[in-house]
Amino acid sequence: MTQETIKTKQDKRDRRIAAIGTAAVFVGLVAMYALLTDVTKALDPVLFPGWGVILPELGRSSGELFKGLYYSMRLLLPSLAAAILAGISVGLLVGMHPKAKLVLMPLFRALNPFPPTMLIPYAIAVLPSFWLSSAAIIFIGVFWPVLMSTLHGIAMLEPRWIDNARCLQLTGRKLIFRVILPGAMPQIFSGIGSGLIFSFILLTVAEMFGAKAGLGFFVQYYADFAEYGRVLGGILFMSTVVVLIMTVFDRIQRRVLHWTQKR
Amino acid sequence: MIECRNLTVAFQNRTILDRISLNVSDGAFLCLLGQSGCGKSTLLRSFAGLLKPTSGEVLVNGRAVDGPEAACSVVFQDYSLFPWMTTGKNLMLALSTAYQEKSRAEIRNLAESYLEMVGLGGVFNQYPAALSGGMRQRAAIARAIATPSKVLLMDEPFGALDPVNRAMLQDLVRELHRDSRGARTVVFVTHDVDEALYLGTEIAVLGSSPGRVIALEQNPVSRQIPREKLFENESVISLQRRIMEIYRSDMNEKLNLRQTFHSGNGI
Repeated sequence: MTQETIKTKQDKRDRRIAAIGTAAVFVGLVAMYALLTDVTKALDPVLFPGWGVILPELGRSSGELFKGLYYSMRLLLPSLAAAILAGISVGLLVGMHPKAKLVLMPLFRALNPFPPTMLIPYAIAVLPSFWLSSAAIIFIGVFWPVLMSTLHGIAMLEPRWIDNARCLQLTGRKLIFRVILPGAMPQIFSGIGSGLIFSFILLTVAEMFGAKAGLGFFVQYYADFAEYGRVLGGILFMSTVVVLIMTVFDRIQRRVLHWTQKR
Repeated sequence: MIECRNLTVAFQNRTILDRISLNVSDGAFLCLLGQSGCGKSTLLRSFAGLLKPTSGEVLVNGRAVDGPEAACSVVFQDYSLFPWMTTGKNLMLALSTAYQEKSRAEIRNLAESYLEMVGLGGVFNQYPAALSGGMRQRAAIARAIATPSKVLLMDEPFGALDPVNRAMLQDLVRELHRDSRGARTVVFVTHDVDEALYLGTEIAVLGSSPGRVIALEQNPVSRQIPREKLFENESVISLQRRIMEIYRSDMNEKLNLRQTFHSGNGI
């Protein structure tokens, strides 16, 4: 017990040191950029405005940025949730039926690497609204990695867990929600992780057509007017949002997968 | 009562178990003794219904085994508990399946009382990873005996434990079996002769490649005899010698096989 507390204490210290390191590198990069722009003006001032331009622009656009954040999240979060839910459900359904898996796996493999961006014209033509077509693009981009990782997770389940579940006469909902799903969670989370990162890229792509607001829209819009102070400000704001979302994701992952860490 | 008739198990043309016939009467404690790789775990797995025999059959209480049944509970070497659930939840999962009619509160009480019974009063909310190997096996035993199944199948349950914990758990299992007064039948896989002598009312020695029963012995002493008196008993000592002799000749046979196999390489 005491050894454990020592370990977690050291863990905490290590993490704090790492955080300081990250901050130092970040400050270094900011300073270097300042050196190249504000101080020496070595870079082209139109394409690379200094902090003296970016920060006031960032302040001036904050209202617009938060509105963009709201619109982006209204697009991203439901699409993400639907894709994760659908990916896991289809994965469970197919993964638990070996014959269905044998039939469908080659098709999944063929469809999986198909870039969702290629589907944009079809999405716009077929679906009734721009929101829906944008959401569909994000959905498809996240659905595949979640589906494939769920299938992988089920295939990788330790045979001894299955033996154990069979001996306990577990079937149906209990088997799925108490054994198969938690056992496959490590792989599912890695799939959600890659889907999440992909979704940020797709979000900006999706906002380039038809959107009236959103973070990707903001960046795209001011790039067209060559207002690079705002463009860079928007990118910084977006990165901050991405970092926050990933931090929340990491927290959730660590909590759900706590049992994998001590083994 | 477990009846095993002409049980043969083969994987990819390799015979693991060769026409094994063995009866385990109600209330017996049968130790399946054999060296590693002789197929004793395979035999236990076919008792548990985890494995379909190539030919022959296993009957538990007169019914042919076809897949795992509620009549048997199984304790594995070190993975009976799911790592993502607390120890208590692990027990509750098994109990809520075995006793569908009981309420959640009753199930919880039952799980708590069985954990207490094996000396694990305070670990209900702890995850298996936080427990020692011995504690995990205690919890696995608690789970197995908490269900209404009469047959307990144990696959080298103490193989990964240190000597002190192993002795304590042997005492626990022996006590539980004695206290059940013939209501519980145990099949216990081990490669440890002394463990088999201490625990078993019957000992079946399995020979290797392919696995077959090469000796079936009754334990000559009663279950009441304490550990320190066991190996002072003449009949136990002679049984121990006999089993060791059988064990050794089987091993020699296997080694000779190896030697002839390798002799072409000039070793």
